[in-house]
Amino acid sequence: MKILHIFLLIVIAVCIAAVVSTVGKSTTYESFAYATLNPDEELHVVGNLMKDREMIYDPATKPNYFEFWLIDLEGNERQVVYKDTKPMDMEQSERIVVIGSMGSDGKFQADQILKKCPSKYSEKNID
Amino acid sequence: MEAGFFENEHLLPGQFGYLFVIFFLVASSCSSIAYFFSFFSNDDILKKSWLKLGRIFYCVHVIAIAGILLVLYYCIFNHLFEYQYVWQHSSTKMPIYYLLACFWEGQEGSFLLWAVWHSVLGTILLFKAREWESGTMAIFCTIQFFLATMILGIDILGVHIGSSPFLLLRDYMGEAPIFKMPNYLSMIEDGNGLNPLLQNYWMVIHPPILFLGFASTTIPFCFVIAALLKKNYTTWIKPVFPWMLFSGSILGTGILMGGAWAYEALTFGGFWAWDPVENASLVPWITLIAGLHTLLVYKSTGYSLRITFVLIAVTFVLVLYSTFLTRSGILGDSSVHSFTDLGMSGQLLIYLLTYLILFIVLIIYNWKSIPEIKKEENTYSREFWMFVGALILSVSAFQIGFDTSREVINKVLGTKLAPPVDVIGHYNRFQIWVAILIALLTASIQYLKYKNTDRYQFLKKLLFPFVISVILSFGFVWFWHIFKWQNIVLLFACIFTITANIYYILNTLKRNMRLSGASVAHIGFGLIMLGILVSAGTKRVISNNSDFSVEDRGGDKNNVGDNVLLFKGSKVRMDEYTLTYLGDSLASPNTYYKILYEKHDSAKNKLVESFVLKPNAQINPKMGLIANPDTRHYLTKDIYNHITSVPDRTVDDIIDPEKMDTILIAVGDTAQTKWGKIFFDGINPSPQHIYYQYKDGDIAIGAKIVVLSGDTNKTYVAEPIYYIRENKVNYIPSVISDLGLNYTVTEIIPDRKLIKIAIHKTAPDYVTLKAIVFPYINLLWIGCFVMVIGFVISLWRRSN
Repeated sequence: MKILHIFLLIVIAVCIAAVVSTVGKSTTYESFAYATLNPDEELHVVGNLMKDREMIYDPATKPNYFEFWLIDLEGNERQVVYKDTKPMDMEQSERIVVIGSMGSDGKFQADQILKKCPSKYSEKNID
Repeated sequence: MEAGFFENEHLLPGQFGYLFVIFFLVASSCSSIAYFFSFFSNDDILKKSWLKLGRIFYCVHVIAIAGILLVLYYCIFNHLFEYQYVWQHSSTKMPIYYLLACFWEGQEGSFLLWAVWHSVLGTILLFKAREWESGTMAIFCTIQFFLATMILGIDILGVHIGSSPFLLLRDYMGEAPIFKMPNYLSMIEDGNGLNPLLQNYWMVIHPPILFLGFASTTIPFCFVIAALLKKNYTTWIKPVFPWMLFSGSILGTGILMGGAWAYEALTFGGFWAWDPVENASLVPWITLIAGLHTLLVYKSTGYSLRITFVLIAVTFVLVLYSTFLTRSGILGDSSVHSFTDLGMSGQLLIYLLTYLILFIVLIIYNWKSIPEIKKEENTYSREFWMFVGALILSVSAFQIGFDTSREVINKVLGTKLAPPVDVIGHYNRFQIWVAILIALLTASIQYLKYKNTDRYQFLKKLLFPFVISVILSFGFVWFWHIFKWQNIVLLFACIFTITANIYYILNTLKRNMRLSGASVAHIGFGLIMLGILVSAGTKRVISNNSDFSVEDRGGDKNNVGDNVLLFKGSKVRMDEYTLTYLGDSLASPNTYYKILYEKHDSAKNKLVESFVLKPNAQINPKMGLIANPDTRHYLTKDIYNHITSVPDRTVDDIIDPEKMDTILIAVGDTAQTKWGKIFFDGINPSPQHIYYQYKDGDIAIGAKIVVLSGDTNKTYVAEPIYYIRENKVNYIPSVISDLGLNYTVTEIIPDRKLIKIAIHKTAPDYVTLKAIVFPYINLLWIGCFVMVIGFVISLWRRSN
């Protein structure tokens, strides 16, 4: 067997390891219900901002605390706590992805918020 | 509706535009056909005449592209908002360089930019390729044909093909009632403008460079396909080599510029975030670099020809794939900057699969006949380890590419894999080993000779740089406080690469700079890796000022975060600095927030350093706060800071009577208000304000008010503006931020010579700020320059 063949085998093994680790390390898009049952798991929840509920952000006292309501795609409503400043275009976002885990107080603790504005910067209407 | 129904439309440029696109499409396909006939013809005379025909069609295609370019720029510069592309991406307020850049903001324009670069590179190819002209140009023109379909925008047999930059706005959104009116154009005041996130000088230079990089990968691919079609596997190597170097340097520059842009202007909090869009352009660059090295191996030894074919083709297909990823909207939730779907994903997929399948078929068919040396490479030879390096790079590309394709896998397999929570950590954990291995290989491979190397000589030459590197590494580990063992290994590998390559230039090449291109590029690579390791590995957020948050904010221990709160005028301690928020100033459309940094020497109680940083933010009605950082550069570190929130001025609680007062006052009078006395000094008949510019027909006054505050016993001046434009009343309030008071003239009663002033208390002025220190980031930028210089040296040598 050529030495290069051994290298090729190693390369293939590493590639498989990479795939396994990608799939293994990947979180999944889940619902709040699932997050409540698995409080230790870091996961992504996709949902819509509940614009009629209260959004708590008072930067003059707590600049690193933001709380809002999110309704996930299955219709579960939960409060989400984000220990950072409020993303400014929150209200404009149609879909929001929160990444984190369910806290013991029943509020989802988000480490990251991704906002999705479907058309980013295009507007379909002109008046 | 028949033409002529609408007023003031400029339809002619658009018709020319469509015409040029069709010329582009037809000429590129004709050129391709002619070149193919020339390529496969055995008769010399026929070959020549087909070749001539191909060239003529190619020229027509270049003229057509130039025509499209001119027409689109004509529409943009004349603000012809009847065209959807112009309306969508430009506005009358944009300065000329952004008008230049909005050309490639949209998808149609970026395809066009690609085609423009192709036409330039293709022209060079036409002159340089000699015996390979017919083959490469034939393939090249098919690629141009595909690009032409991308901007066609015509229905053929009920299928909409491409998206035209010359689509009329009224056709784009015909259902809106405005387009039923003949004078609709007069109602469109301005275009949508360039996305504020992209309003940056990088937008002017980064996309053209990156697209030139993308376009340049096409030419080696054309050589590969032509060689396989002709079963001539060897003579294409020499002409393709400079193209590979060119491609490697330009694409590399484009990617690094993207990183610099992210660092300097966008608030990603760094220069590389492993974002899918970034990855999508990095992966083909990695395979390109791998291919460049196997090509070199083949040139020198005759090994590695098959893998060279594969790597070059894969690079091109990956460029198409990256276009597909970013344009199809498939990245959706996982990327901060994906494009929206224009319904061209199907077309892109056909494009991608055509070339992928074409290559796979050709390479399988030719595999056995591609010459390969049966004898195994010597383990003490340069070719063996360069091949291993190429394999490692391929694995790296595979891992990044596979992870980036998560959304594609989800689509195909119906899974719901989400990116890892710690995206950056996830990639770094894997790629750090690639970086270590590649750095160690680049340090040592040059000391190996092709075919066979004397072991003793090899080790002897490497010993000196090795010892130096070990010593330096110990020093730097201590100096930079790098304690993670993987990082220490990478640190050593980087330093070893740098010292070994410098030593190679000095000792082996005897300072012959003409030959030193590869070594210089490798030094650049080492510096880049070192810069990344040190700046990202030891970066720290310094704005998490816990003592401020806990004590001054009611002892809430949980309230320790990455953002420091600065009230206007008050001092806050952050790291070794004392910060004061001085105030803001507007330079439309950005607001600049002036932050004073002061550093005191506590022993001597002396101010040692003082500077003002002005991070800016754009409060965009559509997108909210768009922050741009300002960075204090030192030789050894950067202090990078950006605004994370500002008070929302749009929801002033004017209704709250507690916070409001109104008075009627005449010129020369003094009145008592809830918050101090005011004196109405007089009327300014031509007021000026950043929000107010005089227009013909305006009736405008500024009310000069002097305020005497009861609390501070100081006087302040305010000048709220009241103006009537087109029978509508407008108010521009005046804020005295020290008092937190806002003065508005709400009414003028001319017959009684009175004005009504509303005063309301505003929220205190503040900003929250995030500051990050990036130590030794300059190593990264120096590394980028050095690497590009290395490429240029090699290119200069190889193209002579």
